[in-house]
Amino acid sequence: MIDSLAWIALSGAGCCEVLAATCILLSEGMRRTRWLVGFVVAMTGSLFLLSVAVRTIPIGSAYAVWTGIGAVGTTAVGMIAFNESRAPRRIACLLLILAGVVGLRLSAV
Amino acid sequence: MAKSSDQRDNRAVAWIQLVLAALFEVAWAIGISFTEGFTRAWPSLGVVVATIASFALLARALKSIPLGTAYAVWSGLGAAGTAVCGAILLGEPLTVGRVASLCAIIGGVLGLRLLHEPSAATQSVAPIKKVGA
Repeated sequence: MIDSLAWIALSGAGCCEVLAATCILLSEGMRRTRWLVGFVVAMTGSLFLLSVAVRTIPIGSAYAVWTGIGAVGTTAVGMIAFNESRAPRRIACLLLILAGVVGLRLSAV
Repeated sequence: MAKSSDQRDNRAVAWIQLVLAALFEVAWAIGISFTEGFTRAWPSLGVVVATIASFALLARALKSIPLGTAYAVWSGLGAAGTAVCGAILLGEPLTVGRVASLCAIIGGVLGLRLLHEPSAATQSVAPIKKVGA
């Protein structure tokens, strides 16, 4: 049960990182203050949730999942909102990352 | 000094900055295990300083290294380094399942960043200096 909560916190940390990355993209090189504030808030939330998650989850796994969710999320946002490439090889990379995340969850000790 | 050797120096410095950025990434990741949810002052301060150092060094490296390459090296080295340091320093078990899963995530992230076809959105984030012929 505690373990499940830690994984929920870790997923939340990954989602906050996607928000942070999107904010920094919209801040146009950190020039637009509103998005810059959004970045700082999202990044703080992300680090806090990660610190909660690693009370239970090994940091080697947690960091990889955090980076992985961040990469999948920002790529998905790029594909949906910013018209980035949806080439099959990019979709394959997304699926590979997700498989790794699920694998870490299943092999959690 | 000739212009071309200046550019070589810049690139060498940028790669050193990039590797240092990844090492700071590993440092804050290992450090965050000791913050107990940011309730302990010194580990928390260390994490914040290392995070800022990592971003600052990455930003400087981006002046000479393309975004996709830099991000791939930074996050790949960060994830691999954190897993290895977690095993050595914190005694986290490196089971076959964990190593395979870690390789899948790192491989996927490297693929995404290195196979990336540049778009207008990402180019505006990282203005890459034109290198003269």
